[in-house]
Amino acid sequence: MIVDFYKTGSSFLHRFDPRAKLILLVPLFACFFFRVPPSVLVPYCCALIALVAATLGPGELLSPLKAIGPVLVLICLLTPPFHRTGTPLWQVAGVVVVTTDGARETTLMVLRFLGITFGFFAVVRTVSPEDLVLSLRWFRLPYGACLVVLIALRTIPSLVGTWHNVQDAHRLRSAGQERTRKRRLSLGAYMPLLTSVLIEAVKQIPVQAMALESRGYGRRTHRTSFADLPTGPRALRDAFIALGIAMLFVAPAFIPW
Amino acid sequence: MHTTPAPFFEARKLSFRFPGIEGRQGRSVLNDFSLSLARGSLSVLLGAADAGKTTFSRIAAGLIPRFTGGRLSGTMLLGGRDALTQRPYELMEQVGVVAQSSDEQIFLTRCDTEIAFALESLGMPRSRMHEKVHESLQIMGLGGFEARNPSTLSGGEKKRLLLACLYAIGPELWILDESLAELDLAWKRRTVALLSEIQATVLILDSRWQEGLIQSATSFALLSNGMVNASATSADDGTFSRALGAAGITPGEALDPPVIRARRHFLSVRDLRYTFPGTDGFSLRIDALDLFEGEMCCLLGRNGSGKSTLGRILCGLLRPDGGTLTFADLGVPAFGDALCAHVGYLFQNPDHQIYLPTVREELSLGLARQGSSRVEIAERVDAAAMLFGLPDLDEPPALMSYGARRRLQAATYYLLARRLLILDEVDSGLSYRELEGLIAALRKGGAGLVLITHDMRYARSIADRVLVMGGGRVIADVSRPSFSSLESLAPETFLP
Repeated sequence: MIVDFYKTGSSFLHRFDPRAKLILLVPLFACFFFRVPPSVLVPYCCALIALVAATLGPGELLSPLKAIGPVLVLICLLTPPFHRTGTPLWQVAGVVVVTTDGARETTLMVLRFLGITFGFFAVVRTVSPEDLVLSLRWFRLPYGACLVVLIALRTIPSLVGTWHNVQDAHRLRSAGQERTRKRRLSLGAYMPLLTSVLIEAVKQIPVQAMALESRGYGRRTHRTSFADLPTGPRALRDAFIALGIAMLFVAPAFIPW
Repeated sequence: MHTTPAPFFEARKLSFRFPGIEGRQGRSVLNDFSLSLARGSLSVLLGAADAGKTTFSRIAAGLIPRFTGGRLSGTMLLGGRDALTQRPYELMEQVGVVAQSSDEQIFLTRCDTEIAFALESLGMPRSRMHEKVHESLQIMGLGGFEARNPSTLSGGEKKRLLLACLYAIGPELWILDESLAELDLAWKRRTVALLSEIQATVLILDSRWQEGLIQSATSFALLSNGMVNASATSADDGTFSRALGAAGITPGEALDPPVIRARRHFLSVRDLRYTFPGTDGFSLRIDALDLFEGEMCCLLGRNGSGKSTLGRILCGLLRPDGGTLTFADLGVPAFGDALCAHVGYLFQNPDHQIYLPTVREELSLGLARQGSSRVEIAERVDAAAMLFGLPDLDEPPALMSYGARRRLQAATYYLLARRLLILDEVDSGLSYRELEGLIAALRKGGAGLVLITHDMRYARSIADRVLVMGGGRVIADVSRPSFSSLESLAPETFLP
């Protein structure tokens, strides 16, 4: 089963001009790297999380959190020891573990990760691969490069599908055979799966190339487009909204904190 | 003076050999293969799984040897012009191929854009493209599937999507590589009728003689040993029919008459519920179903009726939303790995279950994991290889024919001694002889077999019991000798 990045829907975010969403990623990323107090980033972060929950459903919050969870834990463990200045907040046997500066940096890093992840997630989950290619073409990216993006977006989930397929095949063959928990979790247990997926992925390369050339990739004729991006008042409205949001994102940079 | 018109397509003395690997010589597939097709004709090229049909179709489309390497000789003319030197995108308006494996050709995330991709390449204006896409989807019964992700379609629906892609492009020569195999009978008939109507030359490649379907063709040829060994202009040609029989393309007359063998109640399914994600609420609902060891059961139904989904639930790969599966003799509920340990599942695509470098390693893997001794593994592997016609245990599966890979896939499950085996359209791409051999070998293990198929005629000849699915429900469950009642029970499903 192929799992896609894109989730079908008709929410406001789905209908919002994909070009505007892509451009908005730039001020969004910038916003989370400004030298601002963590309290400034909290509302931005909360707004993005609320946006994902409202447009894609609360259940969608779990998958990005699961993905970045281990990184967040590492940040919380490793950041405080590198920031020793400020007032001690927590001491163990006379040794300062966390200072105010350490806590501040840790919070800032966590907020950055959360904000960027949810912002990117909101865009990727609501822009279809076809719209993404149209947007990139609108930005004058060569068609070949757009196709690479499209194939990558299709291939990565396909590999996930292949992984599940191979996992099923191995499961069908090895079921009923006693394996210890240690063996099941060891890297060695995953080697047959990884090797099989790699072989499948390599086999896909010429097959994909055959499919593309058979459907005309490489022809010199001017390529037309089946779908179109929003035009007229709707595009203008989305552009103005995007401009407003972009100003909100960059505003903290101009305020002395 | 009467002159015979020049053929639209002509292959003259085509020979092809795949490149070898690991010091082994590559497989020779075509040897002095010659074939000509008149413009606007509907022709059928029949041949067993390893006869070279797919290789020929890829050569015709300009894909081989460009993407595979290998040695190709001979000539191929299309409308009098040399077609062997042209690239696939230069040939796309002349030759269109629907591949045997749909997943090879589908690469986008919506059905409408999948069709439109080729039209965009042709530079078709947007309004015309929308008309074409709409018309193609409608004609192949996929209206309303525009935004659907092709990966969520059933095997038959994917084939129809690829046919819709070809219809939209409208090439002069259509080559359909086993494209009818995964379609239900209703869609097979509609597709053949469509092919008879379109203004194009059509070549159907098939490994089995589909009685009552392809008789409307104007020429027939049999491909074996890499060349055309027999041909006819009528489906009633006696000599040609005998050649088909000798090649195993028609059902064998010497097939053992089906006998109701000793069977043991194995699995009970009660109140099964499953909603397939991404399919607008398609749901499976099985109120009661009992499966038996030693039984030969055929599972039929239209494309998208839920056959494969049921198969994947029965072997524990999918977890149902509700209901119970119970081992009848143990009286305990079964799910997940417990089901996998007793029920085997042969995927539609054998390559999804074959990974190891040699036949020996592939066959030994399961036995080694079960803790068998080296001597026992060697003995059992040799015996299975003999039974399934896999003489060279050191052969890399990647170099083997499709039929041999299918036998290898079946042999791995035979060795695991599962009590029930689900064969998901394993008949696709196999001749009747190959299929009969495969099923006979699997039955020697005593397992119950559930063959998911669209071949009603064959199902009636071989099965002890026929199950028919429609809309996610079992709408008919008939045991021999009451198969005649199927026609009244499920006439709309597939029966002639």
